[in-house]
Amino acid sequence: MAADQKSPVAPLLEVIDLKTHFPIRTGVFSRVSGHVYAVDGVSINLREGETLGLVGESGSGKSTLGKSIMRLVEPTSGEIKISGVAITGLNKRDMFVHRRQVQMVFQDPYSSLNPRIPVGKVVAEALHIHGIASGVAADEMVRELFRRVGLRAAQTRNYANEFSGGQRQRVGIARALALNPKLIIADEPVSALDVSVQAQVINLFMDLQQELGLSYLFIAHDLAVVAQVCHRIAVMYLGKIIEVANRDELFKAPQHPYTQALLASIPIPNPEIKPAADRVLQGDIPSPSDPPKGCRFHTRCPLAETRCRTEEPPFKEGSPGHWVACHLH
Amino acid sequence: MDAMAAVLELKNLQTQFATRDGIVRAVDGVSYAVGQGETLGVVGESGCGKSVSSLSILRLIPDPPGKIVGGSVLFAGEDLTRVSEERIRAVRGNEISMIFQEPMTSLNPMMTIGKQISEPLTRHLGLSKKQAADRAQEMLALVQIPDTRKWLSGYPHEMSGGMRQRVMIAIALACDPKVLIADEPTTALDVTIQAQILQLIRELQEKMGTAVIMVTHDLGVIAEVADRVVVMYAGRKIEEASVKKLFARPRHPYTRGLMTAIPRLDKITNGDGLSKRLTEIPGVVPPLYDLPAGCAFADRCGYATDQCRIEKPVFEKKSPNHWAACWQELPG
Repeated sequence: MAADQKSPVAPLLEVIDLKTHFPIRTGVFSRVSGHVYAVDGVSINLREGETLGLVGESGSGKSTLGKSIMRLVEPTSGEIKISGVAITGLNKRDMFVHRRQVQMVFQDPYSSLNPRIPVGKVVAEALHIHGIASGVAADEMVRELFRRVGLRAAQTRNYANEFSGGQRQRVGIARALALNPKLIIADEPVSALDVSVQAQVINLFMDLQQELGLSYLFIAHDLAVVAQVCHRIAVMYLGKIIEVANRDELFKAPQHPYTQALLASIPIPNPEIKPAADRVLQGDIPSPSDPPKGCRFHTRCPLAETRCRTEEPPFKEGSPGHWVACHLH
Repeated sequence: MDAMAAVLELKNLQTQFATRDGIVRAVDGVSYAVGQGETLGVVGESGCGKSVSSLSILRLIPDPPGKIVGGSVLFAGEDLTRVSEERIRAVRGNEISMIFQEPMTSLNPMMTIGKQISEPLTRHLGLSKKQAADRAQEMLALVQIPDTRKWLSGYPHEMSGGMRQRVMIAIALACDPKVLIADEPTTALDVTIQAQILQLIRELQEKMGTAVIMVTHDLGVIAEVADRVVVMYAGRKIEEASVKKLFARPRHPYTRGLMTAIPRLDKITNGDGLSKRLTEIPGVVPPLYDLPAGCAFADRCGYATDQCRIEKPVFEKKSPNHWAACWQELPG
């Protein structure tokens, strides 16, 4: 995608035609019998201070895209640039230095916190490993980080199991912030939380952005949550981005039939609004190991024409900043 | 609670668990009823007792550590908490059936789809194998599984999550139950599949007149499917109303808090509420083994007074078809 290339400053994050394919191995010789095309030619960019939402259903590849940008999984091809520097070719040592700029927050921080070490130590470790601070100085930084994310400084001495789900997510955010990153990739950061706690964590994300000028790549399946925190939203389906637009534009004038169906499927917490009778999308999302030819959505699309079954639609900018991959637009 | 004749009624139900930390009153005196063809929504967050109350209906609470210690579950002139083990087995999956969040854990991975649907038919209704197999195929068609012949001999792992939930619904409805209890039936599903399943449940309910108890944490699902709603908090029912009344003017501060804490897509598309901070409910649910003397929500409530902290609020009528357990009169 070439949007916003006019600006002379390189975007904070630039992903160009990224592909991450996983081999499927079968039989006694583990022969590669096929591939899961988890991310299959994705281009996005992200400006400083911006939140880009990445939405899609299971199997859309949104989590794999996030992990590929972190190089937690190795992309098959394509390019990732952070502040103009390509990181796809970096070796381990250079990548280590680079990783400080991009940090990740996961859905379940519990599985990523060592239960036998006080959480403050877990965060201090990151500071130590990256040579930012150690000893008393690191401890003081961690206490400050805890206060910043709405925990008490004394809680640095507690163990992971002594925290509630919402508090653990705050610890996860504190750890991500410890290295003073420019970009945080948040993968379903509030989906495991109850509604009342979810609001607290969403507010924290928004406050931190204001205070620190952070950028977020916010990956979530819940469109209402994404709408709350994001400036721009990209919709993924079967490994491809099918639409990108500013939040308001996307919700007011969704162009892709899949985006339209996705929006119409969300139950609205207002009993006076009755769901449209024709909103229900038929069928399941096809397997990413055998994506449909042509437009990947054509098997479920109510508007599909002949060429949608054979020809892959180009990703076009219909109106400024609003990109869509659909033959009908 | 309702003028309509109840098919199933919980009266002052109490279910407890013995834990290391003490007695957990997971369901602490809960009453609700559901009528024929009606959908009752039971909503609340983790640990509020919504699932335990619905599991208690069919005595599916593991004992020990759980135990129904008081109250009754009235169904067809019987109290299900007191009937024999044999009788409750005859009720389960036959007169009252249940579907759960993760269909894979309730389906038998070693048994064909067809067998799993026909088994309760031969057991409860005494159908022959042939009759049951025919009925199983009919049920698959009813829940809109394509290629029913093929799937009769298929296995659960070959299906997608949405198809498995359809099979669960087919099993649940095969014996034409009076009551269907759906416990977070769409929580594990994608939103486009959720829309399919909710529509399916609604259509089948209209066709068969089943009473549905929809247990969920999702106020959007409640608004879409429920006729009447029970809101639970810390093991108690704190509000009950028709769905329209509940959303138009919630009477309990917790219900109100829930409604303002969720990001609202309908508000965003209207152009108001863009990136405003969400209204938080401060704090967390108190531990169920150590509940305060007064209202369990008092510590998180902006309206709480000394009375709220000392005395448990009475569940009382606030307006026609609308009850709440709150000492305070909230502004409109």
